[in-house]
Amino acid sequence: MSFLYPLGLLGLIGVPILIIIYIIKNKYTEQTVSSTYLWTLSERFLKRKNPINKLAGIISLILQILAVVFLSFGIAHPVFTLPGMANRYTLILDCSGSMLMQSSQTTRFEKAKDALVDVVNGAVDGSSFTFISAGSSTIVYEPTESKSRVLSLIEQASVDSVECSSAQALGSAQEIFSENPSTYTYFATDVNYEEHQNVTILNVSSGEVNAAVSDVNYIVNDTLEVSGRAASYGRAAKLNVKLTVYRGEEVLSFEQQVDVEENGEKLFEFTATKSGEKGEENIIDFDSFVVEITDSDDNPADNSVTVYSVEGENSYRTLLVSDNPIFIQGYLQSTGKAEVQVYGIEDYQAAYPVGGVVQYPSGFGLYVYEGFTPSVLPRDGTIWFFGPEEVPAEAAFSVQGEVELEHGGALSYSTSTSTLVNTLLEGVPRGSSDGGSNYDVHVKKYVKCSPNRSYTALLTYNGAPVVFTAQTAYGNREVVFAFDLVDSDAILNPGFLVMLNNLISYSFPAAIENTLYVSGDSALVNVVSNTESIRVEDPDSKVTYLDTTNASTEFLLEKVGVYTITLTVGGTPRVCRIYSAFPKAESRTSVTQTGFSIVGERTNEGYDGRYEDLWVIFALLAAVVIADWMVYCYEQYQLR
Amino acid sequence: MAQFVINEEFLQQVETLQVLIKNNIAGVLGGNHQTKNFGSSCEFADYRDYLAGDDITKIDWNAYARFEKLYLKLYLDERQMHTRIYIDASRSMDYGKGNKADQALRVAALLAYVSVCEMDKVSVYVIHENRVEELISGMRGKDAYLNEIGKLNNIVFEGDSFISEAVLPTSVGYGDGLSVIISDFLTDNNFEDAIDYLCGKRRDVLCVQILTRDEVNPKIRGKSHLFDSENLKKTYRRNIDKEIIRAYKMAVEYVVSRIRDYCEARGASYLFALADVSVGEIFLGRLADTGVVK
Repeated sequence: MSFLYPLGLLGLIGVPILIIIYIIKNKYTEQTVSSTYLWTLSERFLKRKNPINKLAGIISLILQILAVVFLSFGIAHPVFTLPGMANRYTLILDCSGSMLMQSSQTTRFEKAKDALVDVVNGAVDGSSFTFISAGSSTIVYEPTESKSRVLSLIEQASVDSVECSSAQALGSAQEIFSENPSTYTYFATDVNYEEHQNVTILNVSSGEVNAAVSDVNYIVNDTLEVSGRAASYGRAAKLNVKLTVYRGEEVLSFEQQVDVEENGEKLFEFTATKSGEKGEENIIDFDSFVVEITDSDDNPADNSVTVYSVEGENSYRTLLVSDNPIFIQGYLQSTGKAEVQVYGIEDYQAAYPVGGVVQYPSGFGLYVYEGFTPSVLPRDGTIWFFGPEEVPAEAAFSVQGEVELEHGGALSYSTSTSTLVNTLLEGVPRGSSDGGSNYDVHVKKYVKCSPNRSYTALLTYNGAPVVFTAQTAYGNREVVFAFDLVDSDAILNPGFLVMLNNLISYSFPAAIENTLYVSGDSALVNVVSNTESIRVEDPDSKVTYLDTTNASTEFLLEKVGVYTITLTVGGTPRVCRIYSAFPKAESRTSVTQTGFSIVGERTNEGYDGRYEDLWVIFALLAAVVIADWMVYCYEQYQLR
Repeated sequence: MAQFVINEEFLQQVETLQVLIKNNIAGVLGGNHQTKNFGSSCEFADYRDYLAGDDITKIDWNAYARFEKLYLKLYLDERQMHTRIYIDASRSMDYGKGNKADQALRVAALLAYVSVCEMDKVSVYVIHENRVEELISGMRGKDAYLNEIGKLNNIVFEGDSFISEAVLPTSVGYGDGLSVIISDFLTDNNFEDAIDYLCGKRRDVLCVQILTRDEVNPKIRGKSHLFDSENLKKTYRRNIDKEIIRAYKMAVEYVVSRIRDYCEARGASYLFALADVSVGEIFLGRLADTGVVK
């Protein structure tokens, strides 16, 4: 036996002190009575001598001495050596998504933790523990002899709602075993292994039942069509599948029953329409929809999938400055992407006057200046110019003057094969069936511009760029239409409208291109120009910030639910949502694998353990204190 | 002891009590009333057979004529009685709450007054250690009573008392009245011999035992080291629990019954009085119970 804090034994000095005090101090209350005759006489009538009375004086002393001894020992913290009784343990915890399944209000994961905690608590102090967390990644923690440390690691472990393989964890256990064949390996999991060697499987599955929805997809042809698969594990079931579509304030629900065999899955499809004034109406757009199985089961996490509209999540605020905004405003709003705010030219100039402190608008994704050119450019968002006049130095071009064409000239589409040109002119019809130029855009006059930075021409007249893209001095995209719409037939030209649509997509770079993932996937976020920060809040409200220095960034989805991505562009937050669905493979309630072995011959080479729990000492201390208190009470108060 | 226990207020109470009880006084108080002893007064009391040596002048010849047997006529004695009151003046009588000494003085004063009213002589003695000190001697009449009874206030209660050793050597008279011993009788010392001695002198004997409520039902609990007020070397050191209290109460009962039974066995009277009970209650209630007052 040794002591962690031997100085604590100095407390034993209290024992002789206590005895001395006891001897010196007369605890009997002295008083004079008229006569002690009756008291003395009463001795003859005592039926029996109370043993406590006989020992009362020293019982209290003995108890107090014991209290001092126990307290001193407690402070000194004795450590008893247990020869050869300590062992080495490898504890593997399955952190895959299927461990979320629960029965009796307890998840498999909690049961697995409890099982490992029991192993730890049952081990002799001084044993060595190596904890391995087998989740989306395998983490092998440093071996420790501290039970509290390993218990803390187990407590802090969390489920990764992803499809996980325990192969790497078992590989690590094999390495540990190879180094020391006396190691005991415990694996807490919900997988049934037909065979296993040198490892104790703590199987925490208990016949749960589960229904899951997966492979959700949608397409908008004439109307919204949603499909997916409903699966039932552990029982055959008629599953109620519900589709809820959200469109602004409108909520539409559709339900159907899907008959699924045990451990099977079945395809379901919804065609979303609604009853309107003109009979059945199609649904061609939505904000989001939820597909869910309304039956209760042992794993609610895989019962629903939420899909957000990519377009809806990428919508932009647009500032349109024009005295005649009807066409542009109508067109932008018809795309369903832009929220357009219109300023007249005078109103704009009044709001952002020239001179004095430089003022410019901000917080918009797109600034459209039609028939007006501001003297100061906004610092954020894409800028469109229609018929620019004098432009500020931050613009990527200068204006050389207006060119009037006598009969209206046809503009030529760029023949460049660059990716950007191909993207922006994708789907634009050119020429005509008879070899003429019916799809050409004609202008009566245009503004001759001279780009002073790199630019991409889309339409030219005699080689001069008439519609082109560039970047402002602030790095924002810039689209220049070097003519007034009223001086052209552009608004009647289908090719121009297609190009305009492409330019909207170009101007509204999508932050996210997909809103539905499976947990374990990496989600992609496009870093639009001037993005200051990208904040990601996971379903558990944990916040992380992504790198904004590259064109796009990725982050791993480890949880099931809605991730909220907030891009701050030019000081304005822009919120997108994506949904991380439960991985299909983890929905199965019972998984059986053939087995595995930790190769090697087990030996039984324990090493010296120790016993250092203090609760026994403090329990004895408490008992002694209580006993002393009871003796005191007995002496003082029990006599009424 | 509180000063002047016997004061005017008390004496007024005594007068009132005397009026209430004077018609109920039995022969034990003697004086100008007939005693239970046969004497030479003119009042016929009884007959008895003639024994050789009897005074032949007392033979009732009329009875002889009728029954042809000698009978002696007996007459009541009208001798003046002498009431002797012995007060235990040990330290234990004057200690603690509910002073026994005060009660002893009140009882003595009342008995003395009743005796005086019956034209008896009254003497009051104080027992200190093993001696009897005469405090009031042969007091007769109310005037003398009022003059002398205040001497009771001068009694100093201290030391121990040995009743038998004190009383036995003294002259106590013979068949001439009542002897009263007032004490707590909480002692190992012999008092039985004194009772026997007084009874042997054909005196009526009354033992008044006075105890406080604390002595009858003590409140002391827990570890206690008790010292005897009369002798500090006498101590009692125990953890006083309910078992000891139970034994103590049995001891009280034993002490009371021992002296009561002893008195009864010898034709003496016994009176138990708590120190905080009024003398009126004692004489109109408790004393009646004992037969002293009827």
